Amino acid sequence: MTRWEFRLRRAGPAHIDASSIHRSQLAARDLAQIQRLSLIVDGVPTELGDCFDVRVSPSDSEQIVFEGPLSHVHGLATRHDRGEFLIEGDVGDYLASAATGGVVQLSGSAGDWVGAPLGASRLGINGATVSVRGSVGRYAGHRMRRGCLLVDGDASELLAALMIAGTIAVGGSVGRQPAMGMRRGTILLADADSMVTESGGEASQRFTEPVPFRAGFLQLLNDADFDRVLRKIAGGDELPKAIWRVRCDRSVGGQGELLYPASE
Amino acid sequence: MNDSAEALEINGVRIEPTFAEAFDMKATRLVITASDAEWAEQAARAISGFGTSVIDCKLEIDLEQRLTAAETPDGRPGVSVLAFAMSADELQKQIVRRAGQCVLTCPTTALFGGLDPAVCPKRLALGKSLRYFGDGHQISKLFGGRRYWRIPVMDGEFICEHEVPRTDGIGGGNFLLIARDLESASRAARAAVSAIEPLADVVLPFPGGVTRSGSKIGSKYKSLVASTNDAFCPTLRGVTPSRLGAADNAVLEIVLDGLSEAAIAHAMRQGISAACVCCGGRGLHAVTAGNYGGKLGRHHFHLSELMS
Repeated sequence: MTRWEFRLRRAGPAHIDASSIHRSQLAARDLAQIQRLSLIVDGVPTELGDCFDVRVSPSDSEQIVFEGPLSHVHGLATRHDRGEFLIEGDVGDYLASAATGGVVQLSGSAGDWVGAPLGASRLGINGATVSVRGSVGRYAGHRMRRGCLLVDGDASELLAALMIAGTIAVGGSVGRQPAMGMRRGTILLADADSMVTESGGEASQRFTEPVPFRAGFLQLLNDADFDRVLRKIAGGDELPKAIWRVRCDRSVGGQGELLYPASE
Repeated sequence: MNDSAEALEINGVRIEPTFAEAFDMKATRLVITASDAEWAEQAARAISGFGTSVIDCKLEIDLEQRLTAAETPDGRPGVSVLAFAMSADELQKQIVRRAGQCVLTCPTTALFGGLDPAVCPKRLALGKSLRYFGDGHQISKLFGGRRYWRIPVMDGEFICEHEVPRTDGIGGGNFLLIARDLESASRAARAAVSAIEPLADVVLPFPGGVTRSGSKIGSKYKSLVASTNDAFCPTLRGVTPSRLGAADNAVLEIVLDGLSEAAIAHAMRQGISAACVCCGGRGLHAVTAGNYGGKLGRHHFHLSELMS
C-alpha cells in the first residue's frame, strides 16, 4: 500500500480548493502525474505541484498526509472512502465533505461545513470516522447520514443541522441551535442542560423533556478517539455514568437523540 | 457396531471397543450480557429451554461459558450459548424466535454474536428481524463495521447485533455410562459433566448434561423417527436383544454438540476419564457409545483411540 505526503509550500493568502484530491486518483497516478493534478487556487486552475511538495512511499496502510499551515486549504478529504487521511494543523472549510469511509484525523481546528454535502447532494458524511482534535466551525455534520464525527474542542452554530443518522460527539462548548431539523442520529455534548431545558422558548418545541438514560451502546464503539472525546464530555477520566437524553428535532417530527452528562 | 480393537480398562471400568457416531450440524454462538450475571444467566437458561434434541425441539442449545465483563462486547457480565440445528434455515428460524421470546424479554440484556466474523463469513439475521419490535423507534448504529440495533423497551434499550456469524458444527457426540445401579450411574454422569462443563466450544444440551432416554432410529410406530434404545434398557433385558450384562442395572448417556471434532473428542476424553476416576470400582462397570453402524454421521469418535 502507499503513503502520499503533501507539504504546503507557502502559507496563504491564496485559497486552495483541494476537494479534487482523492485516494482513487492518487492510486492511479505516479508522482509526476500527481504533481500535474489540477487544483483551483483563488479561482485559477493550478498544478498541485506548484502548491505542495509531494512524496510517495510504500506503507502498511493507505495513508494520505497533509502538513503545513492549511487554514486556507478547503475541501480536504472530500469523498474520502478508505484508509487514513491525516492532517497536521488547522484547515479551512468543507473538511471531509461527503466522506463515505475510512478515517479522517485532524490535529488542529477546521472551518465551517465539516462533513457537509458536496454540491447539490443531500448527504453529508456517509460512513467515515472524522476526528478533529481542535474545534469546528458552523454547520459541522450538516446532513450527516452515517459514521462518526468526533470533536475534542468546540463546535460553532448549527451543529448537526438536518442530520439524518450517525454519531457526533463534541467535547467542548456548542454554538447556537444544534440539531436544527435533525431527523435521526446521536449527538453527545458536554453540556446541553440549559439549552434543552429553556422553558417556553424554541427549545421546548424542538427538544423533549430530558430523561435519565443508560447509554449501553457507547461501550460498543471501541475506538480511542471516541473514548477520548467521551471522557472529555464526562469531564474526567471516567466515562459518563449518569446521562440525560432528549429527542430532537421535534419541530420537524425528528427522532434524533441528544445525550449529555447529568449535572451533579 | 463394535471396533475390532480390544476393550480398554480404566480404573477397573471397561471401555468398549466401539465408537460414537456424530453428524454435521449448523451452529452459532451467542453472547448474552446483562447488568449483572444473574440476569444474563436467566436469559441463557430461558433461551436454552426446550433445546435438548433436534428430534422434536428442532434446536440443541445450552449455556457454554460464563463470561466476565472484560470478555464481552459491551463490558458487562455475560454468558455464551452454543446452538445447533440440522439446517441453516432451521437455525435461523429457531434463534430469532428464542432470542425474541427469551432474551429480548429478560431485563437489562443485550445480545451479540460470539463467533469471529473473519473466520465465519456466513450470517444469521438477528437484530435484522428483532428490530421491528421497536415499531419504528429502533435505532441502528454501525460501529467498527458491525451493525447494532437499539430497540426501546420498558427498562431502557435492548441492544442486539444485526447479524451474527454461523458455522458448521457437529452434533451427537456421546458416551454411555453402564453401572451397577442408578446411584452409581448418576454419580459417574455428574463427574463427567463437571469435567466437560468448563470446556469451550462444546455443550451438553440435555438436562444437567445427561439423558436417560437414549434412542435408536425408528419405531414400530410409523409416526416416530426415534424410540427407546431397548438394547440398553435394563428392564427389557431378556425381552429384546440386550447389550447389558447381568449386573448392569442402569445406563445414563452424555450427549455432546461441539464446534469441531477436536472439541468433542477432548470433551469426551475428559468426561470419560472423570467418570472412571470417580466411579471405577464404585459401581461403574463400563463405558460405551452409540452409533448407527456408521451410516448416519461422518464423524466417528472411537473410544479406544480417544482413551489410549
